[in-house]
Amino acid sequence: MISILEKSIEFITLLIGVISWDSCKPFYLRLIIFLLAVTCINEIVIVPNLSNSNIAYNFFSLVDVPIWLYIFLKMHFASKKKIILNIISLVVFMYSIIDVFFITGISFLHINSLMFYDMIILLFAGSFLYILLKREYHSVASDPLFWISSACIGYHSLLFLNFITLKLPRVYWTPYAYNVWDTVDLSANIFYYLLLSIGLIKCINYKSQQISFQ
Amino acid sequence: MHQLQIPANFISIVVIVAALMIVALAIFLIIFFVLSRNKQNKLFMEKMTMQQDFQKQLLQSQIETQEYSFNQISQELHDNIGQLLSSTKLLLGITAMELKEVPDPLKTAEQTIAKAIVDLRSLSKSLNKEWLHQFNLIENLEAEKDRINAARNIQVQLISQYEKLPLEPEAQVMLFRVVQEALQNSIKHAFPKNIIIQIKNTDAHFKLSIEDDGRGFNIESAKKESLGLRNMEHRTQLLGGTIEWKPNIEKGTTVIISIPTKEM
Repeated sequence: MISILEKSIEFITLLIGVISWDSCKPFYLRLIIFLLAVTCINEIVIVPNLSNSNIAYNFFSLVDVPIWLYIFLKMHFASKKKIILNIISLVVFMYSIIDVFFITGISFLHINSLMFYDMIILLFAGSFLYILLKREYHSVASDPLFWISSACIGYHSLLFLNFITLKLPRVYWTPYAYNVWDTVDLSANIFYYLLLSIGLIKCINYKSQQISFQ
Repeated sequence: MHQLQIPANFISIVVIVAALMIVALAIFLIIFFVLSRNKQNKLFMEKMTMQQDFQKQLLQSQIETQEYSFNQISQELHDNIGQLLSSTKLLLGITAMELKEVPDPLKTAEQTIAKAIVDLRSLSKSLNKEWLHQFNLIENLEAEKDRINAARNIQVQLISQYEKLPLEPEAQVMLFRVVQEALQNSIKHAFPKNIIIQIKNTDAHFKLSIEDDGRGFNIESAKKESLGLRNMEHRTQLLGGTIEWKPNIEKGTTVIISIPTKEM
């Protein structure tokens, strides 16, 4: 039931994304729609047909991580610390690859690198929102990037919390573990796709505007 | 020794509560963020409006000061220099009457002084705000046209759809000063042979153009140096309109002043 609900939300968000495709400017916002399509294919087609879903999630994360890092780097394109942000992004991506193929292995979820990725996304999205708040005049409610950054903050905070539970054997090896994981995961997904949908809807009414560090 | 055991389901509940708290906190932060931004935006808009009002008042007072100076100059020209010229003309006339045969240089001097008096009166009138209240802009432009044409160096044409403009006297004064400045700039810097002033009504706008066939100029660099051009912009802004300088296809420049009809 939960799985169907999650997949439905993902699919609806993808549909909204497809409708707003032409309005998605700058172009890097279209990568979110591409990522939504990849997510739907992964969740609806690939995961149910694999005996070990971790393999699918690991490969998906190797698409998800660079795309989101690229989107946030584009959002921070005018940052004075652009070189540092580029290096951090590269380190996160390299660590993910090394973790998947050489440390954790492809059959297990690479939690450590994903937690590191969550922290970096939280940092990028948080700093972006801080910049928006500092601007002299900016209508945030109509800015798609505000909703997208907020979606990332909520989603990655919850995902980080979920990964912590996987690190706690006393929770992980109990009959409740699955329920805990599912509840947190569902909350994260609803929050994430709802705000992402708002962001994509806002794209339709929002004139192309480069938002950056001033 | 008995070790304190935390039940696993308790930890699970803690995790779920933490998740819910994160969601609640995120929602709260989004609402706070949007509301505080709206408040900030509102304050910013108020500040901008105040700044614009202040700027408008400042411009208004600058223009009033300038109009006052023009009036003073006008009075001075009329009462002082005008009187001196009239006395001189009178004296020349008396001298001419006393002579049996009036020499040609004296006749020329008398004629020149008569012309100077006419020109001076015309100039004095164009500077006098009170005079502008009595007559309409079109009449003033006609007088201005005649004044320039009298020199015979430049031919000024006035084409107007109106005989009397539906403008407030204050607005007419401002617009007249803008046209005067444009004409003066054209004569002083572009050395044209012809100037055409056109006044027409287009949709919701009232358009006034001053077109010359003189040397063109770079508007951006001229704006930095010329106080006159900035004044023209300020005056048009005060009328709620726009002003632009366009180079003509062949040669010369056209100044286009556009004022929304509702502003009148």
